[in-house]
Amino acid sequence: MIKKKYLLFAFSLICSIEIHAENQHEFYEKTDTLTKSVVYADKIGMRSPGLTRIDSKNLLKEASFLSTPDIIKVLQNLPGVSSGVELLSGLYVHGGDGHDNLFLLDGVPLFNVAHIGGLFSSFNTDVIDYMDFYKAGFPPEYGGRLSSVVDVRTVDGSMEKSGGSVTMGLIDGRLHLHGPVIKNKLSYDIALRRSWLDVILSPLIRFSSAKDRGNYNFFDTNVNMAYKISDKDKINFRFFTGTDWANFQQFSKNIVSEDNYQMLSLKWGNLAVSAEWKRLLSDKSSLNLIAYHSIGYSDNGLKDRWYGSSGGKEPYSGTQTGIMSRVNATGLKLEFASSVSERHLIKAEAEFKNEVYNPSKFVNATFIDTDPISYSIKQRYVTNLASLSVSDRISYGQLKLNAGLRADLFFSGKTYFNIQPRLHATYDINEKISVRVSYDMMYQYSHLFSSILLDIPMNVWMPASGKIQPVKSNQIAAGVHLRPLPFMYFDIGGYYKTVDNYRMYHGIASLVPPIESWERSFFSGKGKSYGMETELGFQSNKFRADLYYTLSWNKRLFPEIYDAWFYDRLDNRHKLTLSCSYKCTDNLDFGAMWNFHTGNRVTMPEHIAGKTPLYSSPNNARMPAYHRLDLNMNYHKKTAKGNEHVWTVSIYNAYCHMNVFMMSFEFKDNAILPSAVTKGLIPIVPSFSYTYKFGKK
Amino acid sequence: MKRYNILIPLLFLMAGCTKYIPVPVEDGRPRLLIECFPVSRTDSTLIKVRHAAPTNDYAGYQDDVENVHIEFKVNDKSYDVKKLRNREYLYYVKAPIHPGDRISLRAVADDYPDAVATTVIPDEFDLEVRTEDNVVYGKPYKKYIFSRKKGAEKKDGFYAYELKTEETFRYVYEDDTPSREESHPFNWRREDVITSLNIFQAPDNILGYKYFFDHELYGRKLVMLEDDGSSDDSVFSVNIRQYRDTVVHSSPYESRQYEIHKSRAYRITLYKVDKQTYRYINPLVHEGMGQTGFFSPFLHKGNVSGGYGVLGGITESVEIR
Repeated sequence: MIKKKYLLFAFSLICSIEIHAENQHEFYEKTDTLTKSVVYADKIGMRSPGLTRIDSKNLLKEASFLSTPDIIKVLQNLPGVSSGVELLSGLYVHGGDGHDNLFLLDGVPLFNVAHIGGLFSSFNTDVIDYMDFYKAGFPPEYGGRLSSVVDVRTVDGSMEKSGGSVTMGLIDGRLHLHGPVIKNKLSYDIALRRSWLDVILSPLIRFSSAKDRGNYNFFDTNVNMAYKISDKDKINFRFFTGTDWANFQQFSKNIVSEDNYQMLSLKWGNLAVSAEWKRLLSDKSSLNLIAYHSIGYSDNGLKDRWYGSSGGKEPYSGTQTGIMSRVNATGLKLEFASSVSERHLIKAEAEFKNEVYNPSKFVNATFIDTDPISYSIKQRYVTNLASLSVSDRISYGQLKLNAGLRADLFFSGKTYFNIQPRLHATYDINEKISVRVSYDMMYQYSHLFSSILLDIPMNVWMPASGKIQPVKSNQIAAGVHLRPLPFMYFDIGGYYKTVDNYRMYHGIASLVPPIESWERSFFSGKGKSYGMETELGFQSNKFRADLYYTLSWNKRLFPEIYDAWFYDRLDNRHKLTLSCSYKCTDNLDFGAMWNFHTGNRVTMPEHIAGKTPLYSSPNNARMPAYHRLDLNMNYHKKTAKGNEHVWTVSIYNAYCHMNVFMMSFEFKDNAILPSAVTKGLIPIVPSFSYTYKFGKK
Repeated sequence: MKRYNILIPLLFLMAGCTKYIPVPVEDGRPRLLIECFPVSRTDSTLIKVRHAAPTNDYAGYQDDVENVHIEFKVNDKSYDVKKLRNREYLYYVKAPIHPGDRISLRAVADDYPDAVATTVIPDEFDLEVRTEDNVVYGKPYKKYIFSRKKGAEKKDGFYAYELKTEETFRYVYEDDTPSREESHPFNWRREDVITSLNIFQAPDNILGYKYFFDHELYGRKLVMLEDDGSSDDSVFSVNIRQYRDTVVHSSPYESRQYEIHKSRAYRITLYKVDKQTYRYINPLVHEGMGQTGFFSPFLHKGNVSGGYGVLGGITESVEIR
């Protein structure tokens, strides 16, 4: 009986189903392994290859930029993940392009998860219970993205006692409250986060010019109401919104003293609501029903006005340009899990998702010597995706097999029907050694239409269509997990991934992509990436150390620009992360993390004729290597009432290595030799935060 | 001072650090850059052969390459290549070029890899043209519509047109003195010409306007166009602003009274170009997106193996007045 329960628990964890939310937390603690980023292994040794689970405790131990913890930045440290450009929350997994990660918040897909161009993500760490991160071995219930799954689960409010926390950081503050509304029946959990960058930026911009104005802030809200109907039934209502808002106004004069006024306003974010019903049908089976609506949006406008040199009140010419994007996803998901015997765990999931894409753009312009222009485009694409996935987790002695199948029926002007087999196997040679292998086929039905390889609000999500086919990937991964001693583990693995129908933008170098001709602004190509990933972990009572190393290759083939395979810009051959922490006392702990990776690639001229640069192949040059040391210290102090003060001090880039943010080619007329110009942006950044926790769960 | 207290941490945070370093590419041998565009209906072809220095070995750069031997063949028949007198890196060959001819070029020089390229001169311009009078924002235009003779959805290559303009000043005397004319070529104004394609390859600007670049090619200002096999049989159209004859000067107080009448004439020369010419001159990924690492990589895609550049074929066809 105990064995069966464990089997069910294991299955529910791997499939990210919360059957018993209360018990589950306890179970995690039991199964928590030695590292901060727990490589999940359950009691029966069934290990999902490619899964990394990070819980809230370990997430907060990481050193963080500006003392604001961020899950994406934690994931960037893991093997097989490239971080892209410094500080921006890019997640490039196994050679991915950054738009191919499935972000789920309690099972609801999110579209825009970045604040400040990717500086921080929208996930408030106060409410995170745990996060499952898959880069291979995807369970069949996950689909629609190629490279990774970031499945974030939030906590329910305590059913017995109120509590919460207040955090004051350098650029943002957080408030988290939870507790019972009706004891042991209904609980709430509310978290708010707001940046106060506007408080810093606004006077700074006024200081630089008395007439100029500027503002920026972001705001996150998480609300979770949990209602326990019975021991077997629970309902959650959840609400999430993450919003960024920026506004800049500038007054200037041109060379003939004409007044010019420019205003840039940007707003982007995500809003999601969901209702979830969990039912334990028996000791052996459970049911989970989720209905959700998620909106990803961005509204951006630029105004430009010319008033003439005489200081007239009415502008004589000007332009007003706007680009808006909105994606509405409405879905219904039914999950069923059952332990049909000691050796079989069956999981089935059916999902229907309707997505409406509304990109639009307008231009209103008045000129002094030509007719006014009024120009607007509104497009609407409706897609429907019906998915069915089935998997059987088979346990037969030392062999554990998870065989699954996912079928997608996607309508978007053209109908696509795709079967995606998933197979994961683990074999325990003995108690200390296990080997694993996995195969995944994935399809992605939407593309981020962007003229720039950065996460900016002008990027527009577009669906696959008759002309733009879905992207497809095949991935094989294998590895060995060793635990030679109880306090240490070693893991080594490899992967090989191919991608068909990769897209590369080739239109104008404008921040506003041409949405009216988006289907013609892509090249179609292929990708392949392969590499080796290694993890080494050690933990004692007071000391913990981890080492992650990745050796990888990442290539692209776009015949329209080059006839052979060439390296992707994020072909980081070596990546190394070393982290350690030391707990001096119960109140004081220190941590350090050192990151290294070979530089990103750029296209540089290999030859010059006259003053004309000549390029032989794309992405043929490497930026200097990236390395950085982060330090952090946490000091906890408990009060007599059981409340807690936490002071956190972090130092980002402790030895102030100016890592290269961008590199370009420059050939000045008076220079003897051409050169590469590198720009580093982020020096040493010390920061602190203070948290006051009150109440208890 | 309080204001500086706010400023300093932010400046500290955002302070940029710029460094100049050698371009991180492998040191290699110098190469040859070849640019040659044989045009049908001509018997003389210009060839540029330039020194392409490795980026990190640029000091003392000279364009000219010494002792270059150039083989130029038309349908496997060799023609003698000579250097233009007193001109660096410019060579010419006298050879009759016709549509369908196979051209090959090989440049050999000491210390350089051999640079080799071949191309085929495109067939005759195979679009038919019709005209329509048109009004754009209240101004008269003449629209030249170029359509496939083969009909719809038959993708048929790459085109270019060259627009030449000429103003004629006609003197009209009251005393019946025979009139005289003066003609002046001039560059057309961009706003007087609107080029469009059915399905659009050229980028649009921030206002959403689609625009085409004109490219200077040995004295020809070419606008390059690609037929993309649209369902409509028209491939591209050119709208040209029409100006009426105007009196720009009169002389009522002179002994011989006269008026000067100004008129404008347009000539469109049509070309068919091969793919490598089109891609080389009009790369789809715009150069401005080049090197920072935040944009798609940019390349001039030529067809010269062992070196850089292009051997492109162009067929000059008809001229419309």
